[in-house]
Amino acid sequence: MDIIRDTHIDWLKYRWHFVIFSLVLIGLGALDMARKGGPRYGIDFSEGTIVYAKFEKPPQIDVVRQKLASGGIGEAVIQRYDREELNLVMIRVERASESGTSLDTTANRILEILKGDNPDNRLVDSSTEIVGPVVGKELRRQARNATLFSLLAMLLYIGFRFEPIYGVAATIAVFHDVLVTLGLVSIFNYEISLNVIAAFLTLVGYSVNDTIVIFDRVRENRKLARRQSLAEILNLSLNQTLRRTILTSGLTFLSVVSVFLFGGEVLRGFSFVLVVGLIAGTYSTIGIASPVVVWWRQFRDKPAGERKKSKSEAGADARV
Amino acid sequence: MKRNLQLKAAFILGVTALSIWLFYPPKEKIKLGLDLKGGIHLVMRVNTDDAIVAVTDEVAGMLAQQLDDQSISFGSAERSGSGQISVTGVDINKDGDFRRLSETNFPAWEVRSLGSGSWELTIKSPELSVLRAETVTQAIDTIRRRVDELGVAEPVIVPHGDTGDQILIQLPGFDDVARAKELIRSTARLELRMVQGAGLSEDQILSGRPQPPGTEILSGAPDAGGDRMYYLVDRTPVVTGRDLKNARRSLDYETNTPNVSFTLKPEAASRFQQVTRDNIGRQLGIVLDNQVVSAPVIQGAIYDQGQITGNFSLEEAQDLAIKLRSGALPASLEYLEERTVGPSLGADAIRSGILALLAGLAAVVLFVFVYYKLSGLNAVVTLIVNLIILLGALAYFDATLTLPGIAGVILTIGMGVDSNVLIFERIKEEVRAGKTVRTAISASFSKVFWTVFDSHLTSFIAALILLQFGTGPVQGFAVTLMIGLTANMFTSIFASRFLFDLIYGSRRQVESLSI
Repeated sequence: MDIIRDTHIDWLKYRWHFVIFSLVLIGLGALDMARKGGPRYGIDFSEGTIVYAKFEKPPQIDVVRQKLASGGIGEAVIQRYDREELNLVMIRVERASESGTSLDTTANRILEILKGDNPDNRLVDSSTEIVGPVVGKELRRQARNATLFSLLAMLLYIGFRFEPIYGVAATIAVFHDVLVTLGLVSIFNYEISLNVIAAFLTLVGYSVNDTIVIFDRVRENRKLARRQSLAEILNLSLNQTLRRTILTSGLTFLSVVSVFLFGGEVLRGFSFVLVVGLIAGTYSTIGIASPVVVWWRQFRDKPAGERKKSKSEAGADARV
Repeated sequence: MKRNLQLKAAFILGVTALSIWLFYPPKEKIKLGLDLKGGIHLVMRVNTDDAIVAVTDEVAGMLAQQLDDQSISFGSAERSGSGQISVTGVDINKDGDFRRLSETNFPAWEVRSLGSGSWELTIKSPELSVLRAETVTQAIDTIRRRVDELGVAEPVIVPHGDTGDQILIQLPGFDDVARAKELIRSTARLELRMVQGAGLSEDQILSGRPQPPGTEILSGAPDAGGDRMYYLVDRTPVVTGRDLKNARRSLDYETNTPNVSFTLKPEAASRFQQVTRDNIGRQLGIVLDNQVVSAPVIQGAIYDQGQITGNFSLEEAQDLAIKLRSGALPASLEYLEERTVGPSLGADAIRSGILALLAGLAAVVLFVFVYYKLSGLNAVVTLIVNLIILLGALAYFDATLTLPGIAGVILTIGMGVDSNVLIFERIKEEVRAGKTVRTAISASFSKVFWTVFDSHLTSFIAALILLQFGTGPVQGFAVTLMIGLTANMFTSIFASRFLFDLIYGSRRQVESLSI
């Protein structure tokens, strides 16, 4: 059984379409992020208090808000959380506590208010997350550094095993995936939490894996077909591995989509990044990594004189 | 079956059996992180300055004592900053003696003359770092003793971060946050000090008189109405928490209220006996963390037994006894981060997420089986063996499974499926190109090997770096990913090849392939 017949699609003919599409998507994400004043960090990476409160019966947000306000907790985001029947309310206060007081003052106050004097709808269970001002920044720095260092290591290894430009192309593709996903995370209003970071790391791994599989085929085909141009070999390799690409992505997609749909609110941001990252990671091998290699080859193979003459064109190529 | 295949079979079965043995029973062997199991996660900073101040005070006191003993007269010797002591009015003729004495007896301190009988002692900076590090270690030990008494299974109490003064505490499965925090945070520095006077305010005690030297004013615990007494007490305690042999919760027979009774070590007991005998009728202040809990009147000489009464609940008395038994913290603690996951919240939600993932995987397995037929079974078997090895390795390395760790598992499975698909599609391709089944299998495996090797090694290197530079959750991701990648290489290359050989290798002629 086969899902599709052998294909002979000229993928690289559409390289400009791919790149422009990606740039537009990244641009939209960047615009949205700029409009919202930067990425929205979850409590792990900023400062604040979150209390998740589980009630006996469906809670009324207005009542909760009133109670908290009269108890001195005014500036709080209060909303229903997760599935209706869980009777959950999430209360988020931006600052952990007033300076000088203990970190948990706000959380304790909130719980005190919710527990006290509520005979008709008791508080059944609660969870709190409190992050002080020092921790968030430190975490953000460490997560970013760790990711950048690991990307650098990937670049070096792929460059060593294939050719330097392949390492660069794979890394550019991964960056592309991260940027596209970051943009969509902003557009769809998801928060960047520690779990979401883990999803981003998964995305990076998946995208690199996908790129390497194709590049490996290119490496093999170049030995067999020395006469063909690099673009032709890339097209051939992409077509040869297309069945595998569709099957692998499809199968992995099946499992992450089920987490996104049925995994509940807690995992929504996490699985959103996995779903988007999976699509982006597969697409970027065809639409970004392959064109980069071809452009680089065109740029390098032009004689020096000619390169100067068509400076504008070469410049455009080098920029991408 | 050929001998070669038998060996391979034994090896694969051995690895699988070993893995199962390692993680069975999974409930005990596989540790779930707080995000999956519920519990308390705290990050705290140890205010190491506290310990330095305490040491400075102690050294200042010892210095004064020794100067007296050597009859070198001086005006005062007091702490002038943390890690800094200033001594004034030293007999100018004894400059040499003073320097010799302080440099020999306090080698960790830099002695500097400020001229005309004034001196300054500053703690040396390597000593300072040692002291800070020791304080954190001591704090960790003390917290561990306290937490152990709570009966929390597998608590994590470790140094945290780069600054050297942070501690990470994780109490899985424990959900009484308020109690845990109180128990961990309170310094629990117990001191019994003689009371020189008491009143409703600081002014009332002194009533115009200057404060006597060697005393200080401490507040008492507030009563039910929120009012509190103030006490003028000696700076030097008669007995401290370090002199305790034991402490336990007890009941006061008369009032039937919980209290804490303690016994003293022998040498402290004789000192205590002496002091109480000399001070019958006066008040003895029981000071806990600089607050006077109670100030009973001494009725007679007491040897090694004592009681601390206050408005304790049963649990408070229990916890105070735990704190006294486990010793005082060397410095106060400050909370930087706190996370609690209630038993039915969060953890449940995430568990449902994992169920969703498993359902997705089941769909994948079903599809692979339908699509690749008999070979699909091969893929399913290798994926299952992969997961078994992963669990076994997690148990062996004593790693904790968290949500980011599960993200690592997802990536591993994705790449495992990919390896299988790559091989199967390649085999089909080779067969289509006219190769015989056996050569197709062998050619595909040797070609795909380098693809899988490169993609796995790349991810492995990246994971190694994440492990090195990342923090908690990122490391959790890296650990499962590294284990998973290794298991993948084993199952999708070695075990999968074995299964193909087992099915197609023994027959003389293979005409068709179920793929």
